[in-house]
Amino acid sequence: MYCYDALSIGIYETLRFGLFSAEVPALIYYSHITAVVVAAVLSLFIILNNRTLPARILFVMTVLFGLLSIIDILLWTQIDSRIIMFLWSWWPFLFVTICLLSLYFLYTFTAKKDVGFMTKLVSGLGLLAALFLSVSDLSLQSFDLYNCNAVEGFWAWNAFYGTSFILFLFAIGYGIRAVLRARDKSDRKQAIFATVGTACFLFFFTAAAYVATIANLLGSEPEIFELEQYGYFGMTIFIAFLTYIIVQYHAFNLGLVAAQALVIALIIIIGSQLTFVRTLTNQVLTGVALVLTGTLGVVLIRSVKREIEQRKRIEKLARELEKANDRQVILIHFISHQIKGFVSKSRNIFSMLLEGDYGPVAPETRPILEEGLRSDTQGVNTIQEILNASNIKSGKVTYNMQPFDLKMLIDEIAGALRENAEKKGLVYKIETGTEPLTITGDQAQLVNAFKNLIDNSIKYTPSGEVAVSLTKQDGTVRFEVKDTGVGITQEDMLCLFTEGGHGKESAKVNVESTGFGLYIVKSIIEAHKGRVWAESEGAGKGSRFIVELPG
Amino acid sequence: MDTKSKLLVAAFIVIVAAAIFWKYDTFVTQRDFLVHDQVSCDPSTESCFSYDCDEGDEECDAEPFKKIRKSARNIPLCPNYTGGCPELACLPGEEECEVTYCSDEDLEEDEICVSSMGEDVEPSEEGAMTEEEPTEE
Repeated sequence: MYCYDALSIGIYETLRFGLFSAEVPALIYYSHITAVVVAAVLSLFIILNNRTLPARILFVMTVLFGLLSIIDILLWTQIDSRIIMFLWSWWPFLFVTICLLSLYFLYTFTAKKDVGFMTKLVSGLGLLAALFLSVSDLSLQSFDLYNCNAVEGFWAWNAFYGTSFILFLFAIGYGIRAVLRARDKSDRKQAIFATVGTACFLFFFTAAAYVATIANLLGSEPEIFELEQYGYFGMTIFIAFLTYIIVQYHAFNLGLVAAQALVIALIIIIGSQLTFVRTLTNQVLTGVALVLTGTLGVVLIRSVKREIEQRKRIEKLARELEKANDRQVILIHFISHQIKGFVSKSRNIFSMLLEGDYGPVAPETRPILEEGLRSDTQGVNTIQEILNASNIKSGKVTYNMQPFDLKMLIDEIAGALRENAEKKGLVYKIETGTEPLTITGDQAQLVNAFKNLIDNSIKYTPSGEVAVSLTKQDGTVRFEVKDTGVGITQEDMLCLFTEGGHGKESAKVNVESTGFGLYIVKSIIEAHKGRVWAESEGAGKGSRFIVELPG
Repeated sequence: MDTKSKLLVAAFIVIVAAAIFWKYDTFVTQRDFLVHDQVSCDPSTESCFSYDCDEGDEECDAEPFKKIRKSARNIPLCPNYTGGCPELACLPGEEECEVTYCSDEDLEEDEICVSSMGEDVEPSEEGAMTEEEPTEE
């Protein structure tokens, strides 16, 4: 009835609290107690602070895992075949249940909802089958007193491990789906960490136990059978991932609590070693480790507390900044709109006066009226540019995509700007070929973009040449405007296509620049699935703006 | 969790609890399982098993033994764990009790047959040398 060989090596004599014995491999305590304490402390902290479904599942899972671990330790320390057979018969059922709960946790944690009743019913029936198989004669066939082992049924135990392997595959498959369907970056990262943690747990837990069972069935050396102990480290890995999610992403609305739980768990683990280490050296070393862990733990908790407070402050500031920015955008939009109205009215007055709607204009008055009209026209254009940028940024711009001849459009735009170039005495070249180049796009928006690029080149070229060209190659239409103007420095190049991005050098040449022109160009071109960039060898060496659009 | 799910969980817990009581009764109270053991064997009169130990392997137990399989309920309970329990044996007329002596079919890895103290013998060619106690009619 009792394992006499176990008695002869003194397990019974050295047994403390029914669980601790110097004759049992020490690894079992490190693997089991570490995993149980870490999991229990963390899940307890979570359930006390958060009663959501994933928290409750995690709690049940860790309670069952603790039970399984205690059963496993008892299987090593107990010598009564009746107790061993009874405990051993529950091991596979608990094993499959824990694996299923880990998958259930992964689902509810990432999907943020419960599974349907049918899924629960099917899972329940599966567990019921595992329960009946676990307590049947197919699972445990007899007891080997000489080796102090239950004799396991080959097919039944393969069915248990096969089930947990399928659950492992499910976890990976579901995890990938959850990552792909995540609503935002934070959810995606949480799904990745939760999936990797669950998959690691299932893999270690299943693989190690399977190797041990095969070793048991084949009657291999006890060292191979001890491999099972490494499987319990899977729970420690799972908890480590979970803790990271809690600290980094505030899962379960815990932050500091996770760090505190970890430190307490570590202190309990190291402290518990004092109950079974026997030599004075080991007791001293364990004591030193306990003090060090306690001290470093306090430092860690303070550091995490500081970091959490800092991050909360930054997040609050970011939220406030975002709100202030939104309010400012609305205000600027409103002011711009209002000012545009006033300036437009003023421009119309100048225009009507110049056209003689209110009688003939005296020759000495005409230049000042013309200057007024020019200034107001420039003002309306500037305000319109700011409003366009604001509309693009807020996504208010809709694109009406229609096929049209881009060659004709560029010819029209470049032709209209010829006068400006020639007024400055520039050599102005337009090379758009002879064949029509049909593309699909919003003609009105593209007019703005190309006009902006050519106009810029003319403005920033005091003397020399501006050349506009349009070609098509390998299904891509390439527009290029090349000048011999002021060029672009490396420093200015960095802020060229950004919102309100004035280059230092360009601001000296064109003081009226809003800095939104190239930002608008980039937004329009990208909305057409194209790209735009600038090339320049530096200040005074001219520049080249290139646009590529799908042809 | 909805009511249907709660009922499902409750039903499951009841079934598990019932199974716990049933298995406790089966294994601990009724002792309804088979036990294998290796018991001492006299090679001068019986065909015994022994482990094929390498020279110098101090952990290897080369003591001759025979194998016994009997129902746990027929094994007397020892008063305590300190040992002194009688070695397992099949009682006359005992049901579900079987002693296996060394034979070709029953040899497992690292096992050899011995028929006299310290002397290896060829396993019996007459097949299994299993002795089952006659059942009382």
